[in-house]
Parts: sequence; C-alpha cells; structure tokens
Amino acid sequence: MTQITHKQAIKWINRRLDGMLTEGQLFLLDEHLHSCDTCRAYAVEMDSVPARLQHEFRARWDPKPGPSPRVMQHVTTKARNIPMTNRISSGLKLLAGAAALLLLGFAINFVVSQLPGTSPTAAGTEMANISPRPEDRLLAFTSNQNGNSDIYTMLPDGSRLTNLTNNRANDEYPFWSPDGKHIAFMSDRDGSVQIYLMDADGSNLIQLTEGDGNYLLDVNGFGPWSPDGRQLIVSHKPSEEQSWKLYVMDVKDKTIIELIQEPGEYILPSWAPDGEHIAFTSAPSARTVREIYVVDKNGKNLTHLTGNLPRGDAFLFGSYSWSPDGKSIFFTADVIGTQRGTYQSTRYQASLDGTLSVVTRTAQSMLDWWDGTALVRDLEGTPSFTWLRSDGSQSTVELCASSDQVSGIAYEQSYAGDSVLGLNCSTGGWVLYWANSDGTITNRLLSSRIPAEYDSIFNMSWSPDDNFIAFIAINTGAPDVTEALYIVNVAEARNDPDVEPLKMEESYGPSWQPLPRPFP
Amino acid sequence: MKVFRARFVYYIRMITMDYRLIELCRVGDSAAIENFVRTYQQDIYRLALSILDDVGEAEDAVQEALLSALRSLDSFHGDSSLRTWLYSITVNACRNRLQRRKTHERLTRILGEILRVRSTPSVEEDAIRQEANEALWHLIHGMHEKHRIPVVLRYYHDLSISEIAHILQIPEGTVHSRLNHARRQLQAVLKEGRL
Repeated sequence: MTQITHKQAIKWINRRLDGMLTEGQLFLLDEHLHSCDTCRAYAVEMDSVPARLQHEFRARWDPKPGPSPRVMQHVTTKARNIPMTNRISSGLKLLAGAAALLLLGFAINFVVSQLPGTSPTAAGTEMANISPRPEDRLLAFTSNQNGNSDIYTMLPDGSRLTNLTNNRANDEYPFWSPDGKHIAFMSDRDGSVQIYLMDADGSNLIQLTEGDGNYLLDVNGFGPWSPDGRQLIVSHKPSEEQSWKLYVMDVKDKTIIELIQEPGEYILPSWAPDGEHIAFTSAPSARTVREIYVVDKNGKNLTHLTGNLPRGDAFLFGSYSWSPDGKSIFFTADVIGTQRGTYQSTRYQASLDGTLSVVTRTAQSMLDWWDGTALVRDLEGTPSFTWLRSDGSQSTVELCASSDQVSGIAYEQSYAGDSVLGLNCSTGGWVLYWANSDGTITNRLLSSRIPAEYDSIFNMSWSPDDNFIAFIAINTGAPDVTEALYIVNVAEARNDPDVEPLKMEESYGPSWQPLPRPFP
Repeated sequence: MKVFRARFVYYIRMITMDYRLIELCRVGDSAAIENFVRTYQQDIYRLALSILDDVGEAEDAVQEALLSALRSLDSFHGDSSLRTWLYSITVNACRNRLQRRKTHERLTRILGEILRVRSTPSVEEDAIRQEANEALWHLIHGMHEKHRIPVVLRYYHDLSISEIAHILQIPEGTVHSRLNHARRQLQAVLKEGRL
C-alpha cells in the first residue's frame, strides 16, 4: 500500500476542500488520517472553516431584501438609448474599417478550398438482426463515464447496456440510419475527427472520411441521414481554415458533393422528406439572427429563404420544419425593435423559390405551430403559455409558480401530437409538463425536478413508440461543461408522477433507433 | 475532442438559452429589458452585496453591471452561460467600486488626521461591532479582494472552482491557492480562540 507523507497529507487536506482530489488520493488521505493524530486535528480545524463561513455569510446577507424598484426603473430608462448609441458607435467603426477593407479587398483575389480526397475502402456491412417491435427500439448515446467517450446502446429502461466502440479514442454522437441497422458517428481515433459507420451491434466498422482537417455531423437537431439512408450531410474544416463547408457524402462510394461554396457557420442542416433538397441555417457572424437557405442535393439552386422577409422581421435562430411533401419550409420570425405591447410573431411558409406566405400571426412569442394550433409564450416574464387554436378558441396555463421567472425552455412534440414542456423555474430547477395536442389538458409530468445546476435542456427526443422521452441536461456555465442524459417513461409518469427518470451521468447525444419505414 | 465539444456547446448555448429575449434586448425592446432585469437582478444583487457588503453600493453596482451587459450584448457569443457572463461583469463593477472606496477611505483618513475629524460610526456599524464574530468579519473585511472574492463566490454562492476560475479569468490552481491562503488565515483566527 502506498503511503503519503505528512507534507503531502497537509497539501491534500487543502485540495480536498476544493474538490480537487481523485478517488485514489481521497482513499490514501483517509488511510493517513486514521493513523496520524496531528494531521487529523489539522483536517478537523480546516473542515470547520467553510462551515463557519457559510453560516456567517448567510446570517449576514440572506435577511437583506432584494434590490429596490429603483434598479429596474433606472436600468430600463437608461437602456432605451442603448441601441441608438450602439448604432452610432458601430457606424463610426464601420467608416474607419471600410478604408482598410477596401485595400484588403484588392489584395485578396479568391480563396480556393480544396477538399481532401477520400480513398475508397469499402467493406461489407452485414445487417444486424433488428426487432420489428417498437418497444425494443434501442437508444444510442455517448457516455464519458470511463474517462473517454464511447458509444453505447440500451433499452430505454436502462437494460441491455452495450458499449459498441470500446476504444481509447473519443467516439461521439451516434446517429441511426433510417432503417435502424447502422450507426454513423464521429471519432478522433485517426488523430483528427472523422466520420465512421458501424452496424447496430458495433461490428463492420468503416471509416467514411479521411484526410486533412476535421469532419463533423451536425448535433443540433435534425440528424445527418438522407431519408433513403444513402447519404449523410457532413461539415468539414481544413486544419488551416477558420470556417466550415457543408457537403453531402455517399456512404457507399464515399463521394462528396459540395453544397455551398462560401465557408461559414452552417448549422441545423436537414433533408427534405422527399430527399431532393437540403435546408440549413447560417449567420454571417456570431449573432442570434440567422438566415435559412435551401439547396438541391447536388449543390445547385441555392436559395435564400429568409431573404424576402419584411423589414423588421427576423428569424431569431429558432428551428424550422419541412412540409410533409418537401415543397416548402415553415419557420417563425419575430418583429424586433418594437415597443412594449406591439410584439409580433409570424409563422411563414416559404416555397423553395423563396416566395413567402403568412400562415398565422400572434402578439406573443410563438414557440411552435402545428395544424392550425400555435403555442405562444408571454414575454412579460410570467410563466404563462397559451395554445391558440384555428377555431379562435384558446387556453392559457401558468406553469411553475406565478412569481417564478422562466430562464429556460425545452419543448418537443411527440409523433402523436402531444408534447413535453420543460421549464427552468427560478425556484428550484426544471419542471416537466405534459400537454395534449391542442393544449386543453396540461399536467405536471414528474413530481421531481431536474436540478437547477443544469442551465439548459437539449436534444429532447421521443422514442418511436411515444412512450419515452430522452434529453440532455447540461451545465454550460462550467468551463468543462457537465451534462447528463435523462430518460423519462412518459406513459408511466402520466399515471404516477412519482416515478423517477433514468439518469446517466456524463452522457449525451441520444439517438433513438427508428422503426424501419419505406422511403417515399 | 475538446475543440469540437466547444463548438457544439456554443451552439447548444445559443439554441437553448433565451435567444429571443437577448435579441429583443439588443434592439431595446422595453418589455424584454424588464424581463431580463427581473430574471437576473436578484442573483447579481446577492453577488454584489457579498463583495461590497453595503446595500446602497450593491444596488449601484447592479445597475452598472446590468447596463454594461445590455450595452455589450453584441459581444456575448455564448462562450459561457449568460449567468456566468453577468457574474464576470458584476465582479468587475464591484472591483471598480472597491478601488474607488480604497481611494476614498485613504482620502478620508488623511483629511481626518489633518482636520482631527473622526467619522462617527453608524448605529448599524456599532451593532455589527458588538457581535461576537467581530474578529472574523474584521479579518474578512481586511482581506485583499483577490482572496475575499473567491471566498464569497465559493462559500456564499456555492460556485465550483472551475466556475470561479471562469468568472475571475484566472487558472483553477490560482483559485485554489487563494482560497487556501484565506482559509489558513481564518483557521488561525479560529484556533487562537479569538472567536
């Protein structure tokens, strides 16, 4: 048994107070303290300091009331002039920068981005044995519990947990193929991040991309697979570049088609249901106002769908959805810059040639719209949500406590149309609610809460049988980002809110194995 | 794949945080600004109060921090959570006030000596002095801010070492060594039985 010195013990006693010891170090320190009276006495003394401080701080500051109303009054009055001041300041900066840019523009003729070639190393992919029963659908996800990321599958109750990659490299973000037989994922086993493909049981591994730079699959929403399971949307950044390009890759012969020539920040790419077009969002800089584009799957006919929005309307980085026939895209734009009481959200339908038509308008922030029903949120800060129906009826519910502020929202509709809504209420963390499709019934789904330490809920997705919902709770405030995968048995929780969700620490990137379905 | 995790996390932050609220604040929507202030003022007021230990100054620091944040929303790119970003701004606003306070105290002391005028302690200050933990608070107030701020972030706001490092823009090892220095001082006072 390794022993530690007194000096080491003193150092570790201090480090332990800041949570900086490993399990092994804690064990060795514990051993030492059992046999050393001096160090034990020191540990007791040091342990008493945090407790005393917490007590003193709380006794001194907790009883003080919050800030007076003058703070709100002062800030809101002063803040009114900020946009104008910023515009003037930006204008001056622009003028100064314009001359420099002009000179630079002459110097730069063109930028050629050469995509590295991919050598075909085709391998056979034996089909895994797939159960046709919806309740046997596996959940694939990434877990970092063993110190490096690996891809696992399991049934939604946590059984049949299998490590598919079991590799010392980082293997992340599995995406099931539409037939539920293969999994695409990212790995840095080759040094840089590349895309790989394997069967549902982890066999028949194929490296799809190779060469300079890194290749990524978009992890923000729609998944990379074409509806026929033959192609993947991938993004690539050569090692010496700062920006990304979007490509479509054929998984069989590994050929690649460039979707957009201009490098940039492209996220949320998605396939049209008919597999003929691809939509994606882009922003010229790291701003929340984004643009939606659509392009043919062969990279031709790039169209700027949000280019014809009326002045003042902006697509504020929300999501978008395809019409079932793949001929148009729905999205919500908000009028920005309006004064209190004149808020306006508009649901647009954009044809693939960029023609816009208004589906509906609301005076509150629209979270979602489907089949004539809009879910809107009160922007005044109260936790109030309203379902507005096409027949003119509506139902408003106040979720959380009425005095709560909502600092985060997660929302996902099931295949049948009902939905789960997660709200980060200011008193005590995230509360999950279930609502039927038109909002006439809204109930709290779980008695327990998702802890407040997680500031976001992300990647919310329903199981193919609509019985389970999986999501990631993530603490983006921590520099090293902590996250956990939650799986809620919605069918069970609706009868008994006291059921506990399944929680997998240090896990993320859930992907449900789809039910095999015919390609239209 | 840390680099790429950071890229994902950036998008996660931008998608899941209340991006509409941020955008509306950017363009000066008064309802959105009210909502923003209402959501964050309590937390950052507690933070300012714990650093400045003065109700009036804490309120002023909160106003400064909120206005500064609203002015610079364009520079917020989701590199940290909105809350952590606001904490950093608030800590900086408090540090500036502490600096001004030091200058003011030095001036008062010099003037006091010249004019032989002593400032009369307030009733509240008297009450605090009469408390049994006077020595502890004397020590806390006497600490350099580089030691005191990590202590209040850790033991009043329950923040982790990595969160404190992010807010103060210093390495985690430095946070630990500063906390350690402060704890040793406090432990020495406790041991001497002065409390």
